[in-house]
Amino acid sequence: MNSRRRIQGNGSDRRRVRFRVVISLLIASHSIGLAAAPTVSPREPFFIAPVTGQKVTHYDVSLPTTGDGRREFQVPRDCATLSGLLKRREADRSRIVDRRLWLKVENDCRYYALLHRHEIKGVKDYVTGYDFRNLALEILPYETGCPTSDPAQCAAWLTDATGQRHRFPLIATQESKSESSATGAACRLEDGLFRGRVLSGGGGLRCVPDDHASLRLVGVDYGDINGDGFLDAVLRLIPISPEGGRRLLRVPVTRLSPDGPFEAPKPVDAVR
Amino acid sequence: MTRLLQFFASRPWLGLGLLALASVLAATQLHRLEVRVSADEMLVTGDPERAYHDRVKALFGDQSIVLLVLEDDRLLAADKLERLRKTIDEIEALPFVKETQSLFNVPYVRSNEGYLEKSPYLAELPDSPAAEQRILAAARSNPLVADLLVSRKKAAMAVAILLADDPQSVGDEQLTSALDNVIQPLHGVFERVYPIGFARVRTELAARIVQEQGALIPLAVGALMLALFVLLRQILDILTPLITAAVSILWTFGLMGWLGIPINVVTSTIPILLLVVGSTEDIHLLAQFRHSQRQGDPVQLATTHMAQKMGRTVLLTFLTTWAGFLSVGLTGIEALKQFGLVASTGLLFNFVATIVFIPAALTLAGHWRLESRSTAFDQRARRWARRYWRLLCRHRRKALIGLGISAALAVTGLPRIDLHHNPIESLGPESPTARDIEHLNAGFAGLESFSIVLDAGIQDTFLQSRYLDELIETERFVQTIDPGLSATSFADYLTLLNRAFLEDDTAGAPRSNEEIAELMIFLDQDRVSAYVSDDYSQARIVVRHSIADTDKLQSLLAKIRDHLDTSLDRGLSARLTGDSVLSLSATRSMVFGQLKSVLLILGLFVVIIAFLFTDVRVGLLAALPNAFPIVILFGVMGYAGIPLNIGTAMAAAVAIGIAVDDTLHFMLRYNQKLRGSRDQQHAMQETLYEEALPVVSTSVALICGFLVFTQSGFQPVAQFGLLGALVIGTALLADFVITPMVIASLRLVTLWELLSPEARQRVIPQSALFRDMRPWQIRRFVASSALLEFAPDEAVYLKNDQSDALYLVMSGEIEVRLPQADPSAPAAVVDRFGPGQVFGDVALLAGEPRRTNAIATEPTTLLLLTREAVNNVTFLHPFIASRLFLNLARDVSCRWATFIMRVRRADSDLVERESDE
Repeated sequence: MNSRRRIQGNGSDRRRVRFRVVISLLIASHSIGLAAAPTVSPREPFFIAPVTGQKVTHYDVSLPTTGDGRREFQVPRDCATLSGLLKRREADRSRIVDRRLWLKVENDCRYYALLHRHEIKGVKDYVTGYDFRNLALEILPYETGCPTSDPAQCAAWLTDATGQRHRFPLIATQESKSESSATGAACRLEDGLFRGRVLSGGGGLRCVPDDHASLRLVGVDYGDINGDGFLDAVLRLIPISPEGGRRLLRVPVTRLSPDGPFEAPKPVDAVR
Repeated sequence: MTRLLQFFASRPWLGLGLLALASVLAATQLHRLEVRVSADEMLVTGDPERAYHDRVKALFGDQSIVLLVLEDDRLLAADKLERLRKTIDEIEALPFVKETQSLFNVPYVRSNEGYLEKSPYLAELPDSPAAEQRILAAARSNPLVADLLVSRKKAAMAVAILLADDPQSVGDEQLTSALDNVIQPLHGVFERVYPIGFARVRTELAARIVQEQGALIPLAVGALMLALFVLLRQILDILTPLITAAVSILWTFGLMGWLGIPINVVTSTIPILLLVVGSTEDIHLLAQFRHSQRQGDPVQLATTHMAQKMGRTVLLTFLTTWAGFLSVGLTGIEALKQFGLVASTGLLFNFVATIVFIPAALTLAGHWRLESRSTAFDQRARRWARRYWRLLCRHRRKALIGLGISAALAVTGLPRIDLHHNPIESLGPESPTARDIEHLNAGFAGLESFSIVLDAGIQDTFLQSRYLDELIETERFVQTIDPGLSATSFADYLTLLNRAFLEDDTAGAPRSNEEIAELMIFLDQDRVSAYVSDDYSQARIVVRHSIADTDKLQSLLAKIRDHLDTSLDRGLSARLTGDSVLSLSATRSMVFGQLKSVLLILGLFVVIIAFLFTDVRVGLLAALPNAFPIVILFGVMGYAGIPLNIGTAMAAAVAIGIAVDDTLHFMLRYNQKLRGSRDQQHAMQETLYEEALPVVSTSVALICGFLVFTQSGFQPVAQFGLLGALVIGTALLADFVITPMVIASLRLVTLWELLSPEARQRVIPQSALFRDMRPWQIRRFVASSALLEFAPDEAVYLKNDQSDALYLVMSGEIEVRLPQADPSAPAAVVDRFGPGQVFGDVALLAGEPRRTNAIATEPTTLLLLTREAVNNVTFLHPFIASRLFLNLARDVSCRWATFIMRVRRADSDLVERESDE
């Protein structure tokens, strides 16, 4: 719990918050994994750098454009330029690798913009205290966990502030006899890694332990992504089972009270 | 040739001066001569496979590599690695090194909390044996590292030293020496340390060539001297071949230096070959000279006889041997081309040196001789020749059956011949480099490689899972053929990334296009440029192996090609290339070159013999004794397991080019003897007697010379020597068994040669029939004729006989008479024909029966030309025929004019008589 950081609503606490951030940084540098990540800086998310695959706060990338050939950019510094090029359709996406790189920088810039959409000054923080590296999967607002039986409400609940519906990628819909040992207790990340398979069906979330890792939490970023005054956590997860694909999942969750359930941040429109 | 020999015999100092001058000129070029072995020279020049290989190399950026191999039970002990790291730094500082690849810098791609970690395996040195084992295990599970940089079979790893783009500019020896110096400190650190690469192979080859030249040339000189001493016993005769050989070797080296042709494994055999092969003409000339001396001729006359009797023969035998050497260059392999060019030119030099030096030396010192061979020996030799010939005639059938069975057995050995074309193998098993390579092959994937290039022609093809699967499937197929093969491709790199992301060391390649695209973000293009083109339209699988056996390699490539033909996606085309493929192409070229060379020499031999004796059948039969050693050679290769390689490929052509000389000597000598005596038995005995010594001498000298090569440490050279000696030995046997039997059954004396000198020099050139014809046209015409001899009063033809020939009087006289009703009445002579005149042509051309009688008035010789022969000449030689018919028309017209004048004169005499009465 040393790594916990709370962002208070009034400006007089800023100095204290900064102090805590520094302390947290020091502690984080000695602790392992992403549990320390929320305390480093909620505003500066980590990216996976192209080519090296390393964890970075910014990266250089060479991208082809239709006008000036290949150009060098730095993300997120040049996100505005990149966004302009994309809007003007000057991004050369004729090659598969380039197309995928453009998609990556577009996503990274959007993500960066998402986290910076609203000021976090004064927002209520009920999320940074949670140990996401050992999170229980049930906090993730995915389809089987819909708290209401009303399909319309459920759909709204499942649609997060980024406009995405939460569908957890690892759910096996068919249960076999050998999977009768599945329990809810097994549905938990351990040190950022989930080893098991998730089963759907009646009786809530149940998981079968497995030696193979199937879900990796690569980072947690914080921001008030829908401007509702509550700090949101964006979990960046990578399914690592061959069946699950490898597309980075960004799962925003929030909590509206200190001990309340995690839920998907409401879309901006719903907030307004 | 005869005139040249006589010229230098009359001006010995001029000849010796010219030789000395040319030698001084050649010596000025010797400093340019270098010993250099290059990989390219073993390949086929102008080969489309090579052009494609060059394109592939340019596309995928292949580089020359030297591997520094380290073996130790504690391979990754920190202290050892510290020293190794220092050495690698020193290696990288060498000017010819572009970069190194080792566990110190090859990325260990793995996941770190969901991000990628690409730090090298040895970014941090392991601090415990367990950590060492973990790193080794991780490296061994990397398909791009396993058995390439880290052995899976033993505690060994390698540092790949990538050489600069033009490492040849440094020189193999300098490169190898510099590397040896740098790695020297590692010898006490690791249990076994050795650098290995083609540069080292070439360096050892070059060093061994120099070493062997120093050892084998004196051995060859010694062997030749011994053989010559035993057989000839004349100091001058022993020294002369050595001097002419030394002069020709000097000139040849000078030429090589001037042209920039290096001494390599193949061309290194040339000095010894010149020494041995070049001696044969010398021996024949000297043998003839000594023979004349023994007959009592003084030096000058003996030299003249030598020039007259041997001039043409040595020219022809030189031509066949020269063609044999030159024909080796018919193959597309650069080294063999160089050999063909240099060796044939060297032989030409030797021939020039021989025809200049021998007459000069004999004129000056021919009278110095040891009386070692008495006339008693000559008598004994003559008796032996006679007895041998009788024995051969008596057991002719048995001998032929024996040789036939041997040939048949040899033919069955032909399919057993293996192909083996591997420069590394030529080092031999005792070579330190070969032993290191053996060690390397035991732990790593081998130095040899080939590539399977898949081409779609459309960009980004290999970023689609369907086509990536083709790469994986092809790799898998290669490894099912031989699990010892290492096949790597772009798919392996993606697999590595995939494993890292999936955090699963057993995971395979990405399965969907989306996954591939996702991984491509993290791909370091430099790391895969050797496997996939920049636009991902072409990809290649690099297969490393240690297969030395050409047949096995050929079978492997054939299986892969079959698989690709039947199983590959139709959107892809596939082609195999690489050193191994080029090596196979060179092998094919070698085999076809070998066949071409042998056929060319036999063809040339047939042409020469057919030309000399104006009969193709004679040429074909004379080729028989020389075809026999070739069949035996290949049979022995098949049964003895001697493979066809760069050395043995030359053996048949070179040896047969030499061996046909003896047959030529036999035939020309027999021809000479037959002209002097029509008795074939006697002519053959004399031929055997006179040729036995030079033929046996040259053959023994050649066998000794070729056997010297067996002492070479290079297997192909040693095998070349063994097979060369075998061919010469078998040819000697054939020359004393098959050749006498074959040539004794042939008409080796042409009609031209049977004509008296008077007829050849006076009658024929002055005959109206041959007016304005060239000598060779006359000879060709005469060759299709026949000689007839008539006694006085014998009829050549009578009235009403069929007109099927015309006649040329060579000697004597023919009267053409009108037939008389009363045989006792005096004949009415129409005309008389003396030497050089033609008769019988009118009826022949008119196509009517004879209207007169042609009777010899004295012993008369006629040259008969039948209608069939005239028709043949018209068909085969229209120019000769046109000249012939013009001459006949002139002759008939003249005779007709003479006849009319005689008739008129007769008429006027009759009128005068009547008026007188």
